[in-house]
Amino acid sequence: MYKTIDLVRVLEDLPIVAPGILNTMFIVILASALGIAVGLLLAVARVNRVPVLNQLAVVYGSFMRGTPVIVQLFIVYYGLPMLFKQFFNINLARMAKINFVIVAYGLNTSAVYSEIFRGALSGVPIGQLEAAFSVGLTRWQAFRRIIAPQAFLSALPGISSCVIGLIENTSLAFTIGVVDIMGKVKVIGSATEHYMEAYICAAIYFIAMSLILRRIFSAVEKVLQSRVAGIGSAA
Amino acid sequence: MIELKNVHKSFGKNKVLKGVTVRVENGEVIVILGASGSGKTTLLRCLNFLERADEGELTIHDFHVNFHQATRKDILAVRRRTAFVFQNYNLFLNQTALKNVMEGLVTARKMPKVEAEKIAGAALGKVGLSGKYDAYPHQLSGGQQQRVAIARAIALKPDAILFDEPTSALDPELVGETLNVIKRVVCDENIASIVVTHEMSFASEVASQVFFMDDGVIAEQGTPREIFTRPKEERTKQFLRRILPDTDYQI
Ligand SMILES: Nc1ncnc2c1ncn2[C@@H]1O[C@H](COP(=O)(O)OP(=O)(O)O)[C@@H](O)[C@H]1O
Ligand SMILES: [Mg+2]
Repeated sequence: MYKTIDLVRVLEDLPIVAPGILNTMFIVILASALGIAVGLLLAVARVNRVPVLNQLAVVYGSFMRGTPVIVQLFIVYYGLPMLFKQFFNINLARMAKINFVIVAYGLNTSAVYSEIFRGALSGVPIGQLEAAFSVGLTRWQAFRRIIAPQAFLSALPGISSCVIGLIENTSLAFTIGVVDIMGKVKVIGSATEHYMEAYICAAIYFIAMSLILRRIFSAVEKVLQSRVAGIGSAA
Repeated sequence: MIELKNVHKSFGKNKVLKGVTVRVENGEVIVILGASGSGKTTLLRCLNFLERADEGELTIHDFHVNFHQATRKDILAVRRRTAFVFQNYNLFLNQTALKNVMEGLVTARKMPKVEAEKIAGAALGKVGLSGKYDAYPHQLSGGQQQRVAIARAIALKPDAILFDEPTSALDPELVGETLNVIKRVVCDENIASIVVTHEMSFASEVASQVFFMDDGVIAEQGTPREIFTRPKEERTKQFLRRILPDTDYQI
């Protein structure tokens, strides 16, 4: 049998898929926060060549970039509970699935963020650090007040594309049963046998989310960089 | 008062400073001259611990430290008693002129913002930039940026200010005004100033002592008059001949 695409069905599906957006955004926001935090630590370890941590960061980075994200997702989802049971006797089996997704994507993107931040940090001229020292700032104060804000500005375009890329990547979360946008699509599809309309729905939401986020990021970038030209992409 | 005694510094096998001794009293300005590569910048950077000297002593008033033994706390103490004016300004690019001047006061010295703002405003006024509080570095000319850097230095009320070729990155027409600002602030304050510069008229007018550096040592020192008109060392004469080709001086 040859099915046609039913546009009315697409319209009907839209409100059913909509609640999935919440979970998708939840994953994107928390995984990004985790990825940025871990990525920053890794980048600082690498820029300052902290012994051991530096080498670990390199290995970690090549593992994260060298394996498919779905493999990482499965390893975290199935492996983490085993690990915790085995070594700490802690039972993670009852934890909400979405937490594993957040951890998996957080770790996955942290490798990308670590590269972004490493580039941004080493792009801040050494004279900025020396000037900070010369007015009596400690290393930490110099990092917090002078280096990090400048590095953040030049990292912003990279952060933006990583977050937007993550929106698409989260579409694998349904494989472990999380009901995000794709999870809703799967529910509709198996109930009605009309997958295609649900996929179109999902596409519409993904595009909308990307566009909106892109807008927000470029607005933030514009505001910051118009004030502090000479840093980041303007440099 | 600030005194450097017997400072040694090598980069690998390259011995850059081979025992330099310099003393500057409060309210006094000294000028350091010397060919490119003779170690002038390294000397100032060692003083401020931007480089770690291998050997030597530093005294700032009652504070005394051996370069090679200095702890993190000593280093911070030295930096909080001195200020550095860099050749290429090094203003904080993420901060306005006013914030640049306030940074050391608020973050390093924990001064209340209101008070720091007053001091920073006064310092910017002193360098003729009262109207530029909210300008970011990229919105300022090189001369203006260097004046902000000077304001940033004097606002800290340091015991000593180190100027490393403060006008050599500036367009020629901006050199004069910047030197005038430096003259004004170094004479105003009760501080010891060390200025690395090749501006002879500035040295003649302001410096009480001129130090000629060559190959990692002070080859000759004296009043500007002595150095410029009656240099004793052959290498001083050669250097002066190179940078003052048109000026006649007696031997
Ligand atoms: N960080 C460094 N590493 C290695 N060599 C350096 C470094 N800084 C300066 N030097 C060397 O030290 C010598 C003196 O440099 P510098 O103090 O900048 O001279 P000046 O300021 O008188 O031109 C030069 O030979 C320079 O190559
Ligand atoms: Mg120099």
